[in-house]
Amino acid sequence: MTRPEALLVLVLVMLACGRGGTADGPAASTGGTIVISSAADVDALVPPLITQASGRQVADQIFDRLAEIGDDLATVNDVGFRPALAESWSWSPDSLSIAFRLRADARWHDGRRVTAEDVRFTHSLYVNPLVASPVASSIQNIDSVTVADPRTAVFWYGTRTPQQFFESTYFLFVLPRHLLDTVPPARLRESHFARSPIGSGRFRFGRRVPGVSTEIVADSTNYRGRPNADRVIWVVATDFTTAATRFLSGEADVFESLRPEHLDDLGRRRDLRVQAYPSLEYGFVQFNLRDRGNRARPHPIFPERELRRALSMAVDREALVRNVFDTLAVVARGPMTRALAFADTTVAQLPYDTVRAARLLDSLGWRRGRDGFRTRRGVPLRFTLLVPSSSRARVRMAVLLQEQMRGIGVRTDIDQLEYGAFTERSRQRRFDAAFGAWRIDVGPGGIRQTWGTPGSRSPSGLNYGSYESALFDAQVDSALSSRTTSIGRAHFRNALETIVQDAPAIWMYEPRGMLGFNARLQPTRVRADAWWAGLADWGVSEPARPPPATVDTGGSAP
Amino acid sequence: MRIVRIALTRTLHAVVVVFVVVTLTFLLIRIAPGDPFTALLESPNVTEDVRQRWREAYGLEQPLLIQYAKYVAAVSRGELGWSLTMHRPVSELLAAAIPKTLLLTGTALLLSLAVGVGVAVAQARRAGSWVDRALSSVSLFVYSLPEFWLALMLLLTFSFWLGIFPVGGAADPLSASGTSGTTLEGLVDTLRHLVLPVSVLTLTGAAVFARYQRGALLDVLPADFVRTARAKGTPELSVLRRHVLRNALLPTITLLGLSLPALLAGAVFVEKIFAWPGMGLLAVNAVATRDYAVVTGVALVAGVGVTAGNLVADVLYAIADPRVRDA
Repeated sequence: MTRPEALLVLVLVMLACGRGGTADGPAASTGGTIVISSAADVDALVPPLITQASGRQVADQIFDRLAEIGDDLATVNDVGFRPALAESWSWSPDSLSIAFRLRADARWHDGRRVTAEDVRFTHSLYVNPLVASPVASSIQNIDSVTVADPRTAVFWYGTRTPQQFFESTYFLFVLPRHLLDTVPPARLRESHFARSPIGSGRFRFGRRVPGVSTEIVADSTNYRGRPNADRVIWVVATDFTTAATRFLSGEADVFESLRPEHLDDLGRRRDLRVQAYPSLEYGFVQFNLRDRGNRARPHPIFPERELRRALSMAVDREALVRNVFDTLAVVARGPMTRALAFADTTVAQLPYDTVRAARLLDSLGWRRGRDGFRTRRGVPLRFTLLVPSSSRARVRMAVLLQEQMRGIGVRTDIDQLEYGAFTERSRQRRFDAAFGAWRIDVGPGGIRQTWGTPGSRSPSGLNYGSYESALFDAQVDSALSSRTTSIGRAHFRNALETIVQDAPAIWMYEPRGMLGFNARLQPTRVRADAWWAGLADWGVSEPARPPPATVDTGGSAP
Repeated sequence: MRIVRIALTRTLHAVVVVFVVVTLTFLLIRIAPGDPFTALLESPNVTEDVRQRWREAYGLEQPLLIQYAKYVAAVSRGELGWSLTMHRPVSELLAAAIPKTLLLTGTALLLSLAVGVGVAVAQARRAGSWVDRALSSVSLFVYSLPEFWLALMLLLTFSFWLGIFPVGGAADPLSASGTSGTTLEGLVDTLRHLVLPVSVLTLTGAAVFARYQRGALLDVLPADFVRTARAKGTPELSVLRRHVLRNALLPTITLLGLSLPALLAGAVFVEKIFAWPGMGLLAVNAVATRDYAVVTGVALVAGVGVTAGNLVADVLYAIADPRVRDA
């Protein structure tokens, strides 16, 4: 099978999966084990301390939220949210409080009833400074939680915001007070609970061998129903090749990080499936508008808006993305991904037009010399691009981008740095340009920190390039305070148009998530922020372990 | 008496070496750009206040000298710190990892020695023949192979294409124990997982031993005492075993001690690729995540292991060579 044929087959497989995923698979039954190959170990099992997706994958199964976000990831009011631990909720007339009514049959895995007191305790733990939860700042608008009766917890808010329901449900996993109220908050990470957590989710914690595996087992009497699989095991191999081989050889059933090089092989395999889903990550080449040696001074090149626009127009982003990611990414449209409910993909982009880019540079006084590179008043048009060496995609893209810059007379030096060093240099803002990537949260407020003025002026802000635009800030603020998704989207559209035209960065790529799974599994719809969100409902067609891998060279995927 | 003196002197040297290694590791990992929480908490919604509290929780906001003093004091009490990525005491992680590494490297070392000496004897007995030349070429070829490449090739061949051996780990995650078993079934499972990583380390290690041992054997074979033994009618096998090999093993014993660091270094790559949950994997993951306490703890244990290995080699050398013992 040739590469194009394999790609075609893969696309067909993806389309088939997109229609529901169960139509062509065997009938699902209860039982069996799902083995997930993971390239990262679980970082923590106590929700307030979790910082990584690997930890969330497990915690999402063991613990419950009050309500679950909808598949469209809308965050305005309670639109699209589904009941989970709370069976219903009611808003106060002034919208400054929400009362959540817990399900009467909800139980912890040790048999105790889940009460409103647990909810109150959970909030107090999350915001306790001694716990230093990474999500504490995301729920700071929740002033307090009170107990109306054993089944009713009332959330009180400092101000009315469209995201207050989202913040109360998405970030908080309800924790058992009776097991944690005797644990000093500062020692939570060292507690017995941190090693062997007890939640109310549809899976119970099984066992964990740090660096090796984590296992959860079905809570067969769970109030929300027994999960289909008997148990789920995450096996860790921090070497990417090993983690991928585990999946491709049939030792593991699921692998979340497929790469373009796997496409050919997967197209030939009848025992493996792929499901594409939108991601919350985007990559960009960020220009530093301040001098990398002295932040008080402007950068010698990049403060000029027209120059940045010229550089953006010189890059054929479609070609770069296709070359590096094949079909596993699309061109980014700005600092937001298509998965978000607020995202507007119709925002006009700067075109790829090298002639116009060259003319623009000429008009700015940047003239080509004998060596083909441009200078202006003795200053060369030259910059260093920082790239994290751990990201093969970004390294490859940087090389291609260097060549395209050379085409319009701009000299680009690539400086590959180990990830920690790259992050540190970015945080210290000691760079000309940096090939960064953000994985954004479902809540759109983070954009203030990454591209807004607050993130630029705060020394600890994440707007490393120091782009500042009052218009952009105002539109973002308006969007975040909009009471409806449509109005919010309109404001975000204006904000995106502003930042795209100002070009503080070249918006490079938006990868697609590619979930690989064994054909004996029938995943539910995959959510952009958490492919594992419906894991308890995944069908498992047979309890036995999948057969050893066989590479089918003659057939094609159904 | 001489042996005791040698052992005491070498022990003193070993303590100094371990102290220097741990100090350097402690300083180098901390002066490397970034800290554990730079990347761990790199999210638009995580405030600097949270990062600062995490640093305080692990004592990383204090001056380096104070951190070092506290670390030395803790180590002297037998405490190696707390892993900030695995949320476990470092001593507990090391206790789980060390037996795995010892199993892997110990097995590989013994097999390397056996295979290497065997190949060398076969070569030396037919020095200059096509067998000798062929084995020399093979051992040179294997010696020159990068371990990580060899590991990847074995992984692809025997796990992915042929499906004979498991891809990684030390035990089948679906087994009852999930880590390693004490039952016969568990033992077989562990052996299956051990085959590929041990093969990589054995192949490269054996090639080194074979090359050194062959040279040593060829040096000893023309010696007068060997000719005398043969003239007395001693069987050839006995000559080889009792007279030639014993004398020719001296450089190999030295090499054995010197090969420990290389074996541990090789185990880092091999453990990473085969997801073998030993010290190498622990170290490489800890370096990537800037898990300071684990990195320093691994350096401490590895330093002790390597110096102890050299110490044992020195003592063995003294036992094997009367000239050293009686000097």
